[in-house]
Amino acid sequence: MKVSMLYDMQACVRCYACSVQCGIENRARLSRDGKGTSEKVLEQQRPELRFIFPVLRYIGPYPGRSISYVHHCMHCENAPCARRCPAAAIEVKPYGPVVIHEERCIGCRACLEACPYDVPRFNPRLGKTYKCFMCYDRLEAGLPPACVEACLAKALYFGSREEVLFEAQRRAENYEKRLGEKFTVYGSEPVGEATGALHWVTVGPAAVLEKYTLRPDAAQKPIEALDAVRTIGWVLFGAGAAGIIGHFLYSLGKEVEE
Amino acid sequence: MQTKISRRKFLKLGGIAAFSPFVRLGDTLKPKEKAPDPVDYGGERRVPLRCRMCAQQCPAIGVVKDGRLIKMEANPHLPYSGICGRSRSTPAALYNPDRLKYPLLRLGKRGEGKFKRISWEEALERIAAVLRKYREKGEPERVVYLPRFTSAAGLDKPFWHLYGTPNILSYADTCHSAGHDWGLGAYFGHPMTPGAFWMDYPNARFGVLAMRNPAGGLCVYQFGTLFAEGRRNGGRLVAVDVRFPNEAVEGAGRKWLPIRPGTDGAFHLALAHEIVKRKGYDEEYLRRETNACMLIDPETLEPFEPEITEKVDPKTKKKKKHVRYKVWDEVQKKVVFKDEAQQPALRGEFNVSGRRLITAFEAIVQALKKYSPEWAEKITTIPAAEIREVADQLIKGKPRVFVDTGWYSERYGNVMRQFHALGLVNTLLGVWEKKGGVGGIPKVKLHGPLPKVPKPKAVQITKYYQKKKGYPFIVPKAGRRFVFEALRTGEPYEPKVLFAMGQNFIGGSAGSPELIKLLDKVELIVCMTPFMDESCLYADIILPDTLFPERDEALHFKFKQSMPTVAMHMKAVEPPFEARPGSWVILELAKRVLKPEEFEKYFGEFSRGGWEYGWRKQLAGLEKKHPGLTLERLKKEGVWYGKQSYKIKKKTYTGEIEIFSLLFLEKWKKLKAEGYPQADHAHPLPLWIPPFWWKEAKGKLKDDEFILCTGFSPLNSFTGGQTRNNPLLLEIWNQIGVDRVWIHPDRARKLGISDGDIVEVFPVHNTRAVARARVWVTPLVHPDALFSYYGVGPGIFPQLKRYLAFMPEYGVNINHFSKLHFAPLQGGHATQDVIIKVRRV
Repeated sequence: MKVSMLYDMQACVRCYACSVQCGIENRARLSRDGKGTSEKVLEQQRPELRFIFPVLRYIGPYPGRSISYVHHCMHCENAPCARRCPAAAIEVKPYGPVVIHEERCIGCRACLEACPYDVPRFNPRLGKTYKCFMCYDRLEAGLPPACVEACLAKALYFGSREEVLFEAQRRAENYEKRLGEKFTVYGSEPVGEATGALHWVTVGPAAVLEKYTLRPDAAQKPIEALDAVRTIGWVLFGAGAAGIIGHFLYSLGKEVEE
Repeated sequence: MQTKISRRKFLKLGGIAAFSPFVRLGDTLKPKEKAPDPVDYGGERRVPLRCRMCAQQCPAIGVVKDGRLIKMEANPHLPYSGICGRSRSTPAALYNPDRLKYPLLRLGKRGEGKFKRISWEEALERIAAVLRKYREKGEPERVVYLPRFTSAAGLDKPFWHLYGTPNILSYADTCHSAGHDWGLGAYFGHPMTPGAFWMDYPNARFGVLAMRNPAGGLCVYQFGTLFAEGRRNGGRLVAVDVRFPNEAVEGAGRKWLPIRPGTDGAFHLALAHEIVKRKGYDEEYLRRETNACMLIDPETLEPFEPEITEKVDPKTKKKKKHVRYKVWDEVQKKVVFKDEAQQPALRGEFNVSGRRLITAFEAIVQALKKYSPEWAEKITTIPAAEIREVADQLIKGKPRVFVDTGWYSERYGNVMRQFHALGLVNTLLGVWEKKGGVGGIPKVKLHGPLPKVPKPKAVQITKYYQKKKGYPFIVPKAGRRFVFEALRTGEPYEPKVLFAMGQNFIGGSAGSPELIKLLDKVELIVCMTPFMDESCLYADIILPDTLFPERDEALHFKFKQSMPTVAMHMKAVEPPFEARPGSWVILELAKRVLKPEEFEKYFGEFSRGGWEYGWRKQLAGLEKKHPGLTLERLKKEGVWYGKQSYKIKKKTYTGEIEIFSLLFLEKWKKLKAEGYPQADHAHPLPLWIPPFWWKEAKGKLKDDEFILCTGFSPLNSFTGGQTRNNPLLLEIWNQIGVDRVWIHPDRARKLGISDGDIVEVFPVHNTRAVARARVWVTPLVHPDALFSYYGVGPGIFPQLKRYLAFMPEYGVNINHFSKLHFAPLQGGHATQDVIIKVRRV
């Protein structure tokens, strides 16, 4: 079974409780993992630990309108970041989410290059990259992702892929009927070759989705070119062993640095 | 797809490529590792709480692990459960290193900000000594108690009343009292707070948001969750606001109409004008439910030959005036009492035994004649066509439409007129008490946790101003700024002790610099709060309060919701250092100040039985009337709720919704007779009165002049440190620039200001009150307005940054710039109604 998330731009009240809760959940994870007391972890400014956060844009001229949305990982079916990661730190769970394992991350930032949605965030101080892992610890324990639990507007929704697509379609149709405007369910179908379909789909007015927020050019990110380069790399370096040793030494060095 | 790749980038890509084959290996591996246990797992408690990050007390659950609060969740036992981001950031407030840790005693001058640590014993004894002195002198009323976010609810009021002071004064005059309360209260005969109405957002087809941004202010339980349901249902919205309220109106089917600050009243009057002109009102509703058909004299506006009786309310023993009035019966073709008429005439002029009479509705129609959309366009800058379009949607959708009744009203001197006009639109459309319209809020009444105490004899400061000084519409318990008026004038007496329980009376009231000067006359100022604020800077003694998860509290039942709700609050974690709850402080003071027999009579059982005793006392005998309302259920689930209701309580003289308010008529006549110049603010007919600034600027602001407007961010609330000094919220503030001041691009260009500049902001009337702010040049704000989220920066008190490390360095607070002035007749703080200047640094 695959799971998915839904973000409904039309229902969202822009309260950003999702972002706050993400920050709280991840800080609690830090203390769970022995990286600081539950008080200490709350004082640090760690914006990269909020895997969902607001982005505010606006269009003019006066009287303008703002087009804000929450930025988050799309959990691509084909996960370019995972394919790109040399340390195998990014894993696509059999049930859908794309999970980054901090302990395996070598901080090479290949995933930043690969991501067509500008999602992974690199913390130079720690030499690690962070991104949403759809609260897979919560999912495996039968809990919804923290941001979904936090959403008072039910703009964030979680469930099996089928459920989520059904709900997304239902909402889009209702909005179209009530408001006479076209709505899109973004990510239910493959967005591009590189990403495939998305495990985080978005419902929103078609005009807004196309022009201002989600990146229609996501499909055109030179991921194909990257793929070609990667193949060349495979040929150039030939033997896998060299790579394994290289990676081992590199990540070892990283750990010592910390 | 072909893309140019630079040499550097190519090398980087090559480097990545070297390791890439192992991704493929990884792809084929099945993950053996199971995810780690979620943070909720293992040994935690889940405690019912009521959030106090803002004042609304939304029911929540605190998740406790190893004795620490790790997160907050919404209480799932409610049909409309939800908490906002502020609430979810509670752990960051709780474990904030800036918390006040010990009782502090002032060193040096007030305002200098020098304090030393003292013991609780010393602090309490110092306070008690002063309290004993004023009680022994027979002047207990000189002590003023200012509660807000109080951690002693249920105990503080009885204590101060027993002590002898009637001066328990809330902050509501700096919020919704009484422009909102009486502007709308005119129709119902008693003050209607923002907690008196709920908009049926889920069932409404169309709504106008003016003076409320339900997603920015975000009182989640239940307005926020209802509002969100309305959004999911696909309702249409128009927001009338000085700035684009992105929280409320982003998305399809929603529109922003920018309005000139302080002119909302003109917009509502034009709506009423259009509705009347197009006969878009609900005729049957006006006839049946309101006093629209009442025959009045067109000159004096007095009802024609009414029958006035006085009834004694069996419950309160108070006398109540009842008016039975005459109408023109279209069937019998004569004047009769309304209850005798078959078809009372709604409009028209009648000649009755030589006297010219008109219906009240006719008078309203005549009064509205001049308020056309074109007239309103000149004042509000909203195009007449847009006003007509809004009126059109309201007429077509009625009664499943609303003009939101709003909340924080006390921004301008003319707000009572504004809310009166707003109420008129809703009354014409007949949306009160209708599905999809506006409902009244049902409440359960609980007992107090202590035995009933006698009322103090001395006159309350606010009541004095209500009775004697031309403010008949003050709500007496809501008038903290009249404490300062009493200090200024010495009338009715000079307050000598200010005890602020969570109230930031300086940072939160218009005219902070003037208020500070008046404090010289006060002998003792005590501030109890978890974080430093403007008022603490001037305190003699600061008491470190707990944050809400660190204490038990009385049951609460005053929610802004469509169904009666009672919610529990239990201590989840231990307070840090020497922080103590207000309930403990009040008990300690009671022991030290009251006579032993007084203490035993009123506090004895509570002091032995604690909150367990208090809660049982609050609920005694209520289960019969409200099945399931038991302490056991509240302890387990945290909440109890009853049935949803639309009913609005009416206390008018006629017993109907008074579209022509007889109470306004009575007060207006009286004020006129006394020669009071501002009497027209209580005019019973629709009337436009401009805000203070309009008169001062003669309707035209200069190039560098603005009206500074504020609104709530869903990530900040009041001037309390729990939100404005919160490390987690600060992260997001920085991401979206919550501390910025919004300015229109044309205005910015004229002043040579660019986006991101730091500017100096100050009021025209006090050029020394200067604050710095970062500017956001954006077409999302009206040219006449500067917009800032409320209370996000240190304003004119940069020294606050010493105590509040997570507060932005720059940012304005309108109260610092405003004046110690009062809105006519109702006493609101009219804080935005001053002219503000901006200059480059």
